[in-house]
Amino acid sequence: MPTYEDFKSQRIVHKYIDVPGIDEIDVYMQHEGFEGFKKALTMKPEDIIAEVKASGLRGRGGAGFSTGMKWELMQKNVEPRYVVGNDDEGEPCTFKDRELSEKLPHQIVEGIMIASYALGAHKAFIYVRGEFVKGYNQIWKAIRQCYEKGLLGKNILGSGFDLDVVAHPGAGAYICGEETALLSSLEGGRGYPKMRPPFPGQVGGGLYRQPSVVQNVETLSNLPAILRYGAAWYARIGVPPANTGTRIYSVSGHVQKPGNYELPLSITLGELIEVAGGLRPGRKLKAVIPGGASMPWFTEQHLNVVMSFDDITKAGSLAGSGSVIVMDDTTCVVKAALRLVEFYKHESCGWCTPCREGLDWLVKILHRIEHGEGREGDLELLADMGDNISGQGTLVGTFGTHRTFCLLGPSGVSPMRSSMNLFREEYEYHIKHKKCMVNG
Amino acid sequence: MDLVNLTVNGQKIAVPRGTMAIEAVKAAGFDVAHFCYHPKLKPVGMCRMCLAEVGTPRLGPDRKPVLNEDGTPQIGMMPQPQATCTLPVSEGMVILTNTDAVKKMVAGMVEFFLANHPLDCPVCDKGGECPLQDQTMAFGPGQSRVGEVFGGDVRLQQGIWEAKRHWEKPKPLSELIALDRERCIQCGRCVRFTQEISLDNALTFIYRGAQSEIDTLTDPPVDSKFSGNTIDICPVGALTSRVFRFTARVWEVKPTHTVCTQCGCGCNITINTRLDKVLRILPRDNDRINECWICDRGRFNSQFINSAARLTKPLIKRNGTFEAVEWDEALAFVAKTLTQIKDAHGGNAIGGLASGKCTVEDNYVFQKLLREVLGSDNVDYRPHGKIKHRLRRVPDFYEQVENADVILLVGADPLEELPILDLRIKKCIAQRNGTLITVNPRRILLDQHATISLVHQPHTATAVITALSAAVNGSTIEGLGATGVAEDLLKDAAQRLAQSQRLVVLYGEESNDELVAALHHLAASRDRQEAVFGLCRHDGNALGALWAGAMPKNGGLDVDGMMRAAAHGSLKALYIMGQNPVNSYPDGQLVKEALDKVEFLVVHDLFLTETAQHADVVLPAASYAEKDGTVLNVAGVAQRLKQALPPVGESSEDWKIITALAYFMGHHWGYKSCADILRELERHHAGTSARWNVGTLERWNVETCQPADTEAETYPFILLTGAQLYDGSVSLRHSERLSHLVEAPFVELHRDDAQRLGIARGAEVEVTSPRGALRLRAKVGRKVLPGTVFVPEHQPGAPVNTILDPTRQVQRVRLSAGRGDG
Ligand SMILES: Cc1cc2nc3c(=O)[nH]c(=O)nc-3n(C[C@H](O)[C@H](O)[C@H](O)COP(=O)(O)O)c2cc1C
Ligand code: SF4
Ligand code: SF4
Ligand code: SF4
Ligand code: FES
Repeated sequence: MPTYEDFKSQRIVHKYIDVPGIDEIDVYMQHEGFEGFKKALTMKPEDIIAEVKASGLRGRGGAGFSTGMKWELMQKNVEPRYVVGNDDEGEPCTFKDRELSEKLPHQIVEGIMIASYALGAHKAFIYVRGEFVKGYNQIWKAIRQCYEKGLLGKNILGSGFDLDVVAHPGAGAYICGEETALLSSLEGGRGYPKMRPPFPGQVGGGLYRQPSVVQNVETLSNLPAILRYGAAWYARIGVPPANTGTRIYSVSGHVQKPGNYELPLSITLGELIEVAGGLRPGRKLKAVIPGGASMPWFTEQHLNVVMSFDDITKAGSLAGSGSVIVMDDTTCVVKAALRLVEFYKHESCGWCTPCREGLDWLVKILHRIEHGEGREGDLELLADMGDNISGQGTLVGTFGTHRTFCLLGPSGVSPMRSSMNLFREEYEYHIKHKKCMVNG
Repeated sequence: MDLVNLTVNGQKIAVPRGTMAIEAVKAAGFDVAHFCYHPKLKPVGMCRMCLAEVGTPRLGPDRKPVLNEDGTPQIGMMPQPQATCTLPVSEGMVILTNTDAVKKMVAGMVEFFLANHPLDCPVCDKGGECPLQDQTMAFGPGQSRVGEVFGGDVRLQQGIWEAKRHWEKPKPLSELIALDRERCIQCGRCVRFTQEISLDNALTFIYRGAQSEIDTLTDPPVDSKFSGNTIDICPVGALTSRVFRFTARVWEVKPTHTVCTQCGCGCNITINTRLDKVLRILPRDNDRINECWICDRGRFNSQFINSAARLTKPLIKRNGTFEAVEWDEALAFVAKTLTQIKDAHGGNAIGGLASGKCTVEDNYVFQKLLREVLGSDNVDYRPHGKIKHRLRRVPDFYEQVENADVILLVGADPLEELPILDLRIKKCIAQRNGTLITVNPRRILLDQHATISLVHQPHTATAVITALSAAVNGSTIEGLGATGVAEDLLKDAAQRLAQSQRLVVLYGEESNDELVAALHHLAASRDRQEAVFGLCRHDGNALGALWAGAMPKNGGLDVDGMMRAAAHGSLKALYIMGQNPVNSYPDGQLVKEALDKVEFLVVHDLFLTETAQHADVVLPAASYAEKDGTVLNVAGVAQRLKQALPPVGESSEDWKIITALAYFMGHHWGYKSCADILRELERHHAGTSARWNVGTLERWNVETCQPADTEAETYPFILLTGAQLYDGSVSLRHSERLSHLVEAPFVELHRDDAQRLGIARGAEVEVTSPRGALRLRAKVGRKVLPGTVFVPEHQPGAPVNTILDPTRQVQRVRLSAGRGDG
């Protein structure tokens, strides 16, 4: 039985998280702080981009896109350009960015400094979820301390490189974590996603219509170590070549020790559950949602799936934000699905019809099933309405042929569809007996 | 043109590059379901109705299309359905809109819309012209699987999980618009109109997701002069007109295609009537003028037409009171009296005020009456003499404005004077990247969108323009000090003017010859192609009246001369058609003296106006909705009015009244219709452009207008006046709904002055000139410069002309704080 102790020495982002006072710049600097950035200053920007690409680092925010590739694709013949840190963590049961913000704010700032230098940005923003009051204050503290040490501002460390970093409190909506909605919100507008193309990296698509790169703060937190030890070192960790490094899995639900665990991408689902203390005695695993509440569900038969981006995709789900929700046999899946769809319905920005109206109706129908008022035909109705939001097509894998403007709508269909595919008999029981099969 | 070839449902078609797929599908002859897409708004992809399956040619590693065995390109279908409204076409694209998959998607979308829709079509204003109804019939599933099936009570029995969203309805958004939130399908067209077209952000979404609502955050609510357009583009009955609401089903109304004459823009409109009552006014598409928009005055100022206060019979004043009489009696009386005066004092003892609010035909027969029948050359259509007679025709005026790279706006406030011009200027700025430079003695709302605003001291516009010319020419800038304009701003403006390739100069109707000459000099000094000049005449047919000859010739008196002559006693009779000089003539004192003094005053009007009250005979006239005729808009474009309803009561078209009067005086003109009159007028003009066109201007000479300022101590403020769209004009007073938006009379002053004088926002202020005083509400801000105050013309109950002294170039006043109203 593996425990977390077996893996602690392999941590990269959380390497110094237990050091007392690590959220002060002096302590941070005693623990390799800003060495990655200083290394970066000695390199040519294009070499840093190549290095990050070679490390195999992929985005930790949700889509798992190659960070180096994103940097390469950014349009660089236009000034100004911006780097934006995405610290709007809102996915249910994902809580890794919050911990990073509160405990290791300087590492986030160092990461954004490296990215800004590599991309030629002189202004960078960190969009912090509005509810993260402590994290927000910590990030500002780190920014201020960096200015005091000459690590931010004009002519940083005599390099001639100028950079200002601003932390901005989010506007209280899950959708503002979606990168284009985040940009709308940061610009002062309503948090509506923007049309793509143009993509954020292109003129017209980014912040204030300038080329911009949006990067999750965990992604950014990996950069200092990659710069310090080199891409080759990083690329050996995990499942090379395409799934390198570690990631912070937020494990929650029916495990004995829920929490954030930084583990190599080569960990299996079963090992991860064990690291998180395993199930409660006498309980059986019912379902797991890997990668945030919006991803298709796994069951017992997936315990051997390696928790890397590509292995999870191969197994029929997505790695998403790296959170893992564990449900044991005391769970009513109808109630669980209802709770999750309700979340997405509540967070729908309202821009497009299928998400705004469709999720609203999914919730109403799920509600009546859960409350013993389900009717014959409701399951077919649910499935078909789900299809009308996001069809079951196979071409783009798990999300199907969505009809929405962004991926929030399809995210809301997923819990309903997964749970109904896996546990249809529970839904039928609810409708027929007007009560729950699991909890009576 | 750069064309792109594509295939829509198997049909080949070529469209210009950059076209959105939705337009290509339409061009190929197929219907596309859509709600959020509107050709005048930016595509947003919100409603998801226009989905299609789309493919593009597969490209090989050499970036060349991969071919099938039969030589046709292999098509790779995109994995996701595409919103065609946001998808630019590309070469070889394949679009399928009629597959089973697409039909299901669209039907599913219609179901989503209807799931929460109240379906109260039987009482909805939009019913019968509703895109949601139409598209439900065309694309919908035919039956709903969710939502209340039988209405409210059953809902409770079924458990609330069945409920549609319910809102209190309707919610008045503003004086003019009521919102039914249950009907709103969240397409955002209305919000985007205020963000992209009117640029006033008068509407917004509030809340999120399924709880989203349309609302207004402005004060006053929906602070826009164009808000009614959102009712037209709303694809459901969510935004409704508080004037039209519940007055008729749209299939019962009679549409008449005519032209709005409430200002000089010349908007094309459709008047909807039922049983000879005007119910609503809608814009009629004309991309060369108003596109598909009109302003709120044009739309909502309709209730006056059927107002109970309209004059329906001729009135003759006897012993100080008016008596309603028959037409024969009235005309015989007027004919007899005018003949007596003419016989006794000669024709030149009679004067006539024609009107830019009446048609070309009205004005033509009016001046003909004066000249041929009464033998007088005293005729003028202008409200006052400061306005110069300038007739310019620029048929593509609005396109020129839209496509200008620089617009120089001098001494005018288009939002208040010519709203549709204001919209085109905004389009030039927002969509064509144009630069607006304004030169005004006070800030106007449009300045928010101007690149440079040169706010100058009163009466120094010519000096500013002259300095601009100097800066453009690179010579030394002189005389800028007195204008209060900063030199770096001026230089910035000059640089942009110098680089301009497509310059449009718009100037206010009171610009004097020096200013106009300076503007021409400035335009010429750029050494570029001819600039377009636009004179901002307010009245709906000012240029038409000029074209019809309703202006003094051969030494006849102009309006100022007539007023003076009347006050002096040498002008014995005055005949006024469609003007209310007591309110609008700048010298209120003089006009009262004049009207009191003349022996005989005849007035044509719709209402018993302040002027009509002075008259001996009042003849009831028809409004623009009640007549045929011709009008020339601000650009000299001639358009036809069409009668939407017969004149109310016994009122009549002005030209008919005058023709009948001439008949009573022995002149049988025999006009049967406007066409007869127009034919005669055109014969007059044959071979010439308007003879009285003041085309060539004297050499310009500069005048810095430093007024002799002995009164500056007693009257420390310079008074500016200007037009206001919702003013105290009589028609507005009788349009019940819109009248609520007419502001209480105010004076606007700079906040520093207000602070110094202890005048609070909203407090009552006495504005005193050597001529008189007005009590007005204080508006405090930074729109006017310190030391100046602004009082709009024609405010209801507080006509500024009572304190003006037009014999002076500079109007001065002093302010004293009255009581505040808290
Ligand atoms: C509905 C939605 C919500 C999202 N929320 C977050 C979020 O809270 N935090 C985050 O980092 N990325 C979020 N993302 C992903 C971002 O759009 C974007 O892919 C990410 O910030 C890119 O950074 P990365 O490449 O470093 O992952 C969300 C995406 C979607 C579609
Ligand atoms: S799917 Fe549509 S409504 Fe839902 S969050 Fe995205 S844009 Fe907004
Ligand atoms: S009020 Fe009308 S135009 Fe505005 S969003 Fe709703 S449906 Fe669309
Ligand atoms: S802009 Fe002028 S012409 Fe157009 S609707 Fe308004 S008042 Fe009428
Ligand atoms: S018309 Fe295309 S999404 Fe609305």
